[in-house]
Amino acid sequence: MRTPRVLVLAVQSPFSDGGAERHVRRLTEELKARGFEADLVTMPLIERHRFDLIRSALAWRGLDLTEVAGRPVDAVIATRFPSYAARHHNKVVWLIHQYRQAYDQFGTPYSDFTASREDRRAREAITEIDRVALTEARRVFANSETVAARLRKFNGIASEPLYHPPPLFGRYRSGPAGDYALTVGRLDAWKRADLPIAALAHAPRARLVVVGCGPEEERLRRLARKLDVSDRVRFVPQVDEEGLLDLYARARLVVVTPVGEDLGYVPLEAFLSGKAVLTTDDAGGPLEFVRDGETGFVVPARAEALGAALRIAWEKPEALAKMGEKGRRSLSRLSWDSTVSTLLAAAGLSA
Amino acid sequence: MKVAQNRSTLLFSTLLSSFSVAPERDLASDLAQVIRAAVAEASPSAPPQPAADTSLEHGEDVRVSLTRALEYVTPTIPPAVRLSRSKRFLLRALRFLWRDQASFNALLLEAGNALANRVDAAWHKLKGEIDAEREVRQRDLAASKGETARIEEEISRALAERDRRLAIQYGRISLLEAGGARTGAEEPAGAATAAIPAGVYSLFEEQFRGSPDEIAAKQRGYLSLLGDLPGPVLDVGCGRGGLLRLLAAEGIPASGVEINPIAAAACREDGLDVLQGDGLVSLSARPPGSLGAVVALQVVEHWDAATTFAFLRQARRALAAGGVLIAETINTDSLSALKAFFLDPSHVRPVPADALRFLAEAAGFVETRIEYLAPLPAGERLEEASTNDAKLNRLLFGPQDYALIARAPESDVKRET
Repeated sequence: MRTPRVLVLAVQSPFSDGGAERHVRRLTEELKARGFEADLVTMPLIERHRFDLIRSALAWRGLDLTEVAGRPVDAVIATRFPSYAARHHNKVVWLIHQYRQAYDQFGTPYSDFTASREDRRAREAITEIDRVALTEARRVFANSETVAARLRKFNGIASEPLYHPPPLFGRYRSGPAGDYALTVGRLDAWKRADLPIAALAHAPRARLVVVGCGPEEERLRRLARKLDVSDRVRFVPQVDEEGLLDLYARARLVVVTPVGEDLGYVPLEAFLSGKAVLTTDDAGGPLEFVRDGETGFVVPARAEALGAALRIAWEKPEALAKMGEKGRRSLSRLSWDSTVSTLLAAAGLSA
Repeated sequence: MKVAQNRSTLLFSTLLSSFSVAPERDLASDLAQVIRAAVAEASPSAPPQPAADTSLEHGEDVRVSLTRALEYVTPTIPPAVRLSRSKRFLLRALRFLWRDQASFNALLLEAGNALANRVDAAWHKLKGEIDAEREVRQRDLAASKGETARIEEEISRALAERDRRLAIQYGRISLLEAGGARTGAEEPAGAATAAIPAGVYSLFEEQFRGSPDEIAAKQRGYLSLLGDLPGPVLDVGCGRGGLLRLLAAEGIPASGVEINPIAAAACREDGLDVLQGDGLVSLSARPPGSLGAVVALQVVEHWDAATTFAFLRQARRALAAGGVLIAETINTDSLSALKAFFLDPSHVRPVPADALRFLAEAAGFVETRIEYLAPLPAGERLEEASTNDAKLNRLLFGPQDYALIARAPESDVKRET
């Protein structure tokens, strides 16, 4: 019997190599590791004009992947808008996220869609593309419950959350609790690293390590100076993989403060390193993992609230360790094995 | 919803503790309790859970009643009352009497509590949906408002753009007509504009001489000189007919002659009495003493000195006694005005005011005078702090034009042969 062929479909971001690119490459590798002939099909998404978006979707729509180079393709796994518009009789969608500007981000500063006729038409078109492309798929998975909920809310399409391990899966390790809380992520406004920094002003004994770089860095440093907490904040703009694993291993707890995250690897990484997570009630994806009072704390997105939680939790490292351990146990079923086999089972294949 | 559950768990465990010992809590949930309380204190306006944010107002009454009901589940004797020890003993002895009642009370409370939770949940769901809907509407509204402003701006931009394009199209039509004019009738021999196609010159004037309205505003000043004349007005080089229109509006009989066929045709289309041809030739054809005024605005700089003098003599001949001559041209005494002279490629020679006045007198005109026109706006001149500034202003930034105004003598004695 010949080796089944699977294509992973993804949107390409030329000249950049972000998390999304690494994620689909990893998925392809995991498929290959399980004895499949797998490859990645990518095409850039052009967003110059509204119509380019639709044209990009049509380009994908024009792509019939039933057979490539005279050889049949057994299944395709599509990820982002509009790669799932491609045609294949055995299409499984694993939605990383939709074109959010047209949905939940519409009307917020993150979206440049207006109520103009043109933009309304474009949003309608995107909704229609999603409807056609997703309902014809054999099965739709979402990257997280947050993504699934959006799909349900805006398109009325049911999907199942399918989680996957964070990038350094298998290498995270737990170590003795150190004397710092850890926050990790690109320093973008919506990641809100200013919250944990401001929280320090309410938790006089706590220390914080901020890992990541980005446009907010200078402002955050200024904030730390202004609040007179800069002697308790350490900025680590660049860190290699080993360094990051080490920072996780020796943290006292991990603070996660983005707003409306799709999935967010940080709480997963924290739990895999046996650390409790302090997060906010508007964090999105992280709330699917962090159980308040069991594996971490969920508080309002305000510096005083975070500060109060941090101040008290800081003095109870044993309890935090227990929670972190519980967090790790909660992820015991997380593995590429289960993720890939769920995907393949949906496509009628088995690893 | 978690808070509601937490509350009910709390309620229930309190309930239990009234019958038995409370279960021992583990380290982590203990800490969580403390933190919850601290967080609630730190940010009182925003309790720990988002659901609690929209806590059910109606449900609160139910919960208060339930909590108060709890106090009556088991009869108790406060330590301060008289004979409390013996009363308490009595209570214990008689406990079997209300044991079932106490259980019944507790179960009823629990059921009531569950019901309150259900109402709470339904309310939150509804409220969440309403809020989400309201939020979407507000966003749409805000987006529409911004959009309206943007559309208004776009419309005004589009209108300006349309005007600009219209001007270009007019220009193209003029060019096309110029092509036709050149192949059809030959251009007048010796005409100053012959070197440049008429269409191009029309465009040139359109671009640099200002709009017909602006020109009309300038020319309006001449109307006071042109009332009560001994004959009709002839506008030599009438261009687009601005002055003729003003005269027609005043009921003053007038005609024009214009060398540019496009401008002349446009005048005629507007019903003005305009001849296409060379001004001097046309003037020469007029019977002696037949005109009340000869006007030549921005014309003499298109001629050489001999032609200008010939024009003055012909004007003098054709004017009736007391007739008026107006010749407007660029003020050569102002360096900034000379820029305008060199701008127009059909200009032949700048004509100084003194020279023109001299020639006019030599041609037989009397009461000659020069009027300076079109002063520059104050912002474009030097600020005059001294007499030197005034001198410099006259030299550099003086009036842009002047007009020679002269009169044909009342008696015909001086008339040339």
